[in-house]
Amino acid sequence: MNRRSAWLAFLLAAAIRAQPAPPPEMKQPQPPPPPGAKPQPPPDAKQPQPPPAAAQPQPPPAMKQPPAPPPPAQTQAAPEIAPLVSPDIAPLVPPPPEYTLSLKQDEWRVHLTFRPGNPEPGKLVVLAFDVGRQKEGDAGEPQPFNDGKLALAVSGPGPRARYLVRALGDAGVYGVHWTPSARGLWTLTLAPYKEAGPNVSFQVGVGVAMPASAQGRMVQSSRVVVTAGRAEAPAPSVKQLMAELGKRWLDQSAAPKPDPAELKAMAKLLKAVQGRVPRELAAGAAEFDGLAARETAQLEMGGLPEPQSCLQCHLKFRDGWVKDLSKWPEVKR
Amino acid sequence: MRALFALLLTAAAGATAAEPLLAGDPRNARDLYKLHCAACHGETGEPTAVGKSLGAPLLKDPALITSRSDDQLVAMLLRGTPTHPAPGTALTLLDASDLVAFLRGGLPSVSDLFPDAAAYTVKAYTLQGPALVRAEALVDGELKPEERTLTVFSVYSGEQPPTGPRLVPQDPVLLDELSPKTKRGYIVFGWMGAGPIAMALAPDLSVARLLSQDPLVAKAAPAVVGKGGREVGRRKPFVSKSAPDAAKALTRLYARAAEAAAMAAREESDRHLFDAPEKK
Repeated sequence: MNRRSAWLAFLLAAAIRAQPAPPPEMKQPQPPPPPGAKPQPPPDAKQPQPPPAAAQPQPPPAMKQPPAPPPPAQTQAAPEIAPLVSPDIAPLVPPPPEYTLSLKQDEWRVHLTFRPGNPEPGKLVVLAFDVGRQKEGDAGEPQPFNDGKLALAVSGPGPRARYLVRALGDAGVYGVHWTPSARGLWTLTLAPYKEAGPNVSFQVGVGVAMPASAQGRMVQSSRVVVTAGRAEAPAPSVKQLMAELGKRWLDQSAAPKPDPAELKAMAKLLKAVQGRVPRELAAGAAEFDGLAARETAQLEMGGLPEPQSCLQCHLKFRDGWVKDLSKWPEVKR
Repeated sequence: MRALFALLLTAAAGATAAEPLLAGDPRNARDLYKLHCAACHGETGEPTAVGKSLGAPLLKDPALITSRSDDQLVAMLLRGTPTHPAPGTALTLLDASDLVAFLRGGLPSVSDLFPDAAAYTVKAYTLQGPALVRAEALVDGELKPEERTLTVFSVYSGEQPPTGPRLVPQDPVLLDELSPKTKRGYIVFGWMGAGPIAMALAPDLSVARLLSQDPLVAKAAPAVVGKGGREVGRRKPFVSKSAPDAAKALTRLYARAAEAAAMAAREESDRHLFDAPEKK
């Protein structure tokens, strides 16, 4: 019995010795690799066989030594793939598409374009009509219809209204602004309020898809807005920057409380204006930059600039209306 | 069935045609005004400190806006004038049209006082000599220098343009086409308290209508409307027990209006002096 017990104890001890070792990560926690180091494959992963010990290159000292404190950011190795970054300036976002529609009624041909092509309630829509006339049997292009007295009637989920359609200068081209008040399907009718003219109706989806009955098509603007590669993107002009700033200012001034993210974006836009004084007013560059910096600081602190403070810069540097701003708000031409 | 459909179509077309013709998009205009105009002209049309120092006029003044045609106002907004800068280069023709419609909105117009008006002319007259003496006799006091000039709108009926009565410029040929037979009367604008007041005079220079948001004007109106006339003897100070101050202010306006309108009538009479009898 004793001999059997001793034998069993021997077998048990042998079995314990023969048990496979636990994986390294379970043995002890490894310190995190330094930020610049290449990630090491796990030890149990399949990897190419190492060359013979004599030919094996020495591992870099950094790998051998305990992890050093992270180096300063300037000396960090550049990542292989640059992270995605949004454009600095908002106007680089491509404009929304246009929507075009061709309509025909008897001898009248109406080519309609509206921007944006996906109207939203409360957002301005610019409608342009190219009106032509082509009598039966006439060859060639339709003759532009000039001096038309046209009106656009809108009906749909919101209140009905009728707008005066204005001649835009080019032969046969008319236009009108319309801000849809509600989401849904609207019916628009272009008709003369006096004398002769086309009488055509079409449907527009506001905040919803364009109806199949419209049979129009989305057209992306042909303007090049962003060139391939960020470095080659054209820098927005001061006019573009200020137009975008104006739009954002308007949105924020209408909001009950300005959005801090929007204010930061506006500060960025205004910062981009600094140092870009109009050439003819280069003598006032310091004043121009100072005014821009003042408003930038206010935006960065979470305040929306007052129209008066915008006007101060505009009067001198945009309109050239005032030469001396030292006694503001008292100014002289 | 076809007849019924046609009838329905006609009804629908009629309903559409009955809608008033809007000259611009009011929402876009509000935004544009806030962005480009309010810093000088103020949120309510009253000039700010900077606006005042640059000589910005009161945009709430109906005489200022009514005395300019849509085309004149659009051109001013797009190209600027020696006294008004163009607001950047940000406005399009449609934007400017929206703004003009917005500026006209909320102010008393020629159509409000003469619903059948088709055309009107505008001219400012300065009271002097016997006209000034008569006016000062009626108000029983002296008129301030700025009160001595008044803009008179002469209104004519005829075929009404769908977009409202047209402004006829001071061009001899165009003025000659306006027949005295179609004359509906005269309009002058003044101020009472913080708001404008519009006074319409009949061709015989009696007060035809008053338009104001001031409740005191409504109280004084019975003592004013229908009173006055071409003959100086018919012009007497208005007396109202319920609104004596308003009656006094209206007397002051009428004294100037009657004299200025009489000058406009004389000019028109001279213009048509040698018209052929059938034309006259």
